[in-house]
Amino acid sequence: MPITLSRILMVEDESDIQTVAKLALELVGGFCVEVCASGSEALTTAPTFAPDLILLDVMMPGMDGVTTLKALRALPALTTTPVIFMTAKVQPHEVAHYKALGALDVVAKPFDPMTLSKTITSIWHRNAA
Amino acid sequence: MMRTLRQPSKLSFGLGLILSMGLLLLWPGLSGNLFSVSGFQPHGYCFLWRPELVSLYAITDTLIGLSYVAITGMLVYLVYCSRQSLPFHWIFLAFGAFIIACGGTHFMDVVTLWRPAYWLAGYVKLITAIASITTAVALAALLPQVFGLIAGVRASEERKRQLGELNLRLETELVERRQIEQELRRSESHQRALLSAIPDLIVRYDQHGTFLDCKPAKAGGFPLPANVVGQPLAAVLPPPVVTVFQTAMQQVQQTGKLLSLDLEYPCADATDDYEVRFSPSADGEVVCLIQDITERKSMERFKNEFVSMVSHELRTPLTSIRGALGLVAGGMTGVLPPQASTMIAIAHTNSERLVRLINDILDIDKIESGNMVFDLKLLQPVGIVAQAIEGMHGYVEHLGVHFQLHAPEPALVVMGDADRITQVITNLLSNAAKYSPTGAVIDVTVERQDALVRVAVQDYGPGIPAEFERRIFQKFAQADSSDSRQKGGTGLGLSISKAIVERLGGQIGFTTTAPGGTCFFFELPIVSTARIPSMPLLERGLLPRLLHVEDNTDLGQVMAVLVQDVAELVSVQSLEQAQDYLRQHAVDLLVLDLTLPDGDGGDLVPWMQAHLPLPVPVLVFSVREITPGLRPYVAAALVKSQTSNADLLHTITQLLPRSRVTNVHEAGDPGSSQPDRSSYI
Repeated sequence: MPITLSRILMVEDESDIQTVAKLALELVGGFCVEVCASGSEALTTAPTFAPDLILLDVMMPGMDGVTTLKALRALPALTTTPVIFMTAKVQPHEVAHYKALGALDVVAKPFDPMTLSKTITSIWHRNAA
Repeated sequence: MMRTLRQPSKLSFGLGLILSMGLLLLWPGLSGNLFSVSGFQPHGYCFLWRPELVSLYAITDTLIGLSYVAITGMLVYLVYCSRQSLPFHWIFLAFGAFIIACGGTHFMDVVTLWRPAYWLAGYVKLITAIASITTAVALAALLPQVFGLIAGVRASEERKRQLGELNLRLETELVERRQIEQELRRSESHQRALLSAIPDLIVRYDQHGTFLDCKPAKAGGFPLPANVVGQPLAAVLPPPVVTVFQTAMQQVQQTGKLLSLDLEYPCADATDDYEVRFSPSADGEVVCLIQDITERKSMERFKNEFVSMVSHELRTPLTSIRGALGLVAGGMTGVLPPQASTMIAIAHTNSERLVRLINDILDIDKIESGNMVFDLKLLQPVGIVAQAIEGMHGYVEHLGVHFQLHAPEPALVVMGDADRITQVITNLLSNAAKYSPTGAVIDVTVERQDALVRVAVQDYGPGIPAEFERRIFQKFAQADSSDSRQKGGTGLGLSISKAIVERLGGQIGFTTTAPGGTCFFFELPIVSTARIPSMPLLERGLLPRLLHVEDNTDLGQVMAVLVQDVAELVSVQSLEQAQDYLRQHAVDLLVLDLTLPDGDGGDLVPWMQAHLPLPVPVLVFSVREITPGLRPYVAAALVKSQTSNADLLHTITQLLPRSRVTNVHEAGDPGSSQPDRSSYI
């Protein structure tokens, strides 16, 4: 895991949220962001993009976030890449479940675009420490 | 007895008769002169043939003689009629012979008035004499029997009297019993009326699993055939349901308490839901009320789906809206003309408000369904209040108010969920800020009130209208709708805050302060920090040691606070950790959860018996009942859902020894056994 966070792969099926989040992360956080619209697209993009961190939506048509996480972990390049779930389903037992699956943390939707980058950076540093 | 007595009297009577016959035949001169009248004068001469005297004698003797014959005739008739029931009836016949003989002498007296047949008259007198003597002798021999008969009659009369009394008593009892039966019938009919008024299905079954009674449900419901009485459960219900009924029976018989559970009953194309209430009855029987709650459950499912839909479907577009507006309002897309900037700010503020409203609705749903989960930790409210004030800095800046924190005792500690307490404080702070005039200073105080921490927020706003005071903690309560629009609240904040504070064992309220303004406050119980975390080791070591094996860390935290005055607590989360600890340290009491991540907690009990030098009392504290096989080896067993903290502490105190066990493992290293208290905070 690199010391600084720069490359983020975002997996999100809603194009509006893709645009807003990408803009927020690029403009406010200054990250290099790559967007995938589905789990299967993420599986092909991720190995070549080589992200420092993956932001993963939970509820997606076809392959959902949990299945995508498991499939990503099966790829040799992505066995240890940190993953943060972004979801509206943030009841405490759901959060505990996502963490048990190996996610670093969960970011609740709707997120504040002005603080999203800060939130993600602090999760990243907490994990690194 | 009567029989043996009767024989000698009969015999003596017979012998008397034979003797008299001999005497008749052998009397001197009797046979030759029996009918001789010569040489004598008739008896009438004695009366000088005075006709009145002669006739007096003749008439009286004739009448006496005739009466004697009549008496004898009656005696014979009596004996003839009642031979079977009359004891020693022969004596009556003998008596008759004696009387008729007497009658004979009177007839002879009449005859001898005119004809001097004195030999014949004497002969008749002889016969009478013999009959009299024989009867007298026989009668004397019968006397004891007669006395016996009299005593028997008396005894029988006494028995009759007693029987009469007994009969009276029985009749009285019978009347009473009839009354009781009537009462019972009346009471039973009342009970039946009550039972039939209950729309649920009610059944009673015994420990062999046989139906004893059944009151059908008013309409539809549980699929039970008409004649279940006398049938075993297994013949009527599917195996999983039978298992539920049998397990429930064991549980209610053991606890003696009512058990209520939801039962899913598989039907043709779906699952019906029933609420089943088991109640222990006499003689190991169970009465069971079955209520069809399929409709209620489907409503619940619908509501849950709806809440889930709100949670996801509304949040998804809102994420885009809020995010886009946030970026524009934050100036990330360039500088906007002033009017456009104002419009965007309004849209942004309202999108934020919509997010809060959805969050509040979800919170209310969680509170009402009992699903709000608290992450309980020991924490300092002063720190949380300070953070909350800091977090609201941006929000209150544009309102032109500011907060002033007063905390005379910053080290107070409570048990609570930091996020939820922050939610309550933020709600009180934002209310105070919204309702205070520009430039106001809002005083926030955190102080001790006896055993409680009181967090108070004093504003200088318009105060609460009197008519609104009673509704202020209700849902969607706002003083008036135009006001709410102006202030931008959801009307749910105080209702949620109240539920949170009460769940944490505290209370929330407000006081109206003159000349205007309101002080909202909440209070939470102070947790004694006397032994946490920097107490001298020696003093801590005097408490008995309790090993808590429990994978739920929330419960571990609660236990830490609960037993802090009575025991030194060591918490482990798995079977393996428990075994590691027990190998190294002496323990005075083990509190054991049965469902552990690495196996059944019950397995620890035989392991302890095999591996530990001294027996350790075990208190099972789990969500499920312990198995019968384990019961003899544990000191007590409590079920989590049925046990209050007070009950748990009481049981623990009962099981703890007065002084602690010492163990060779730690003799040389007194510090090694001390658990790290700071890890609970």
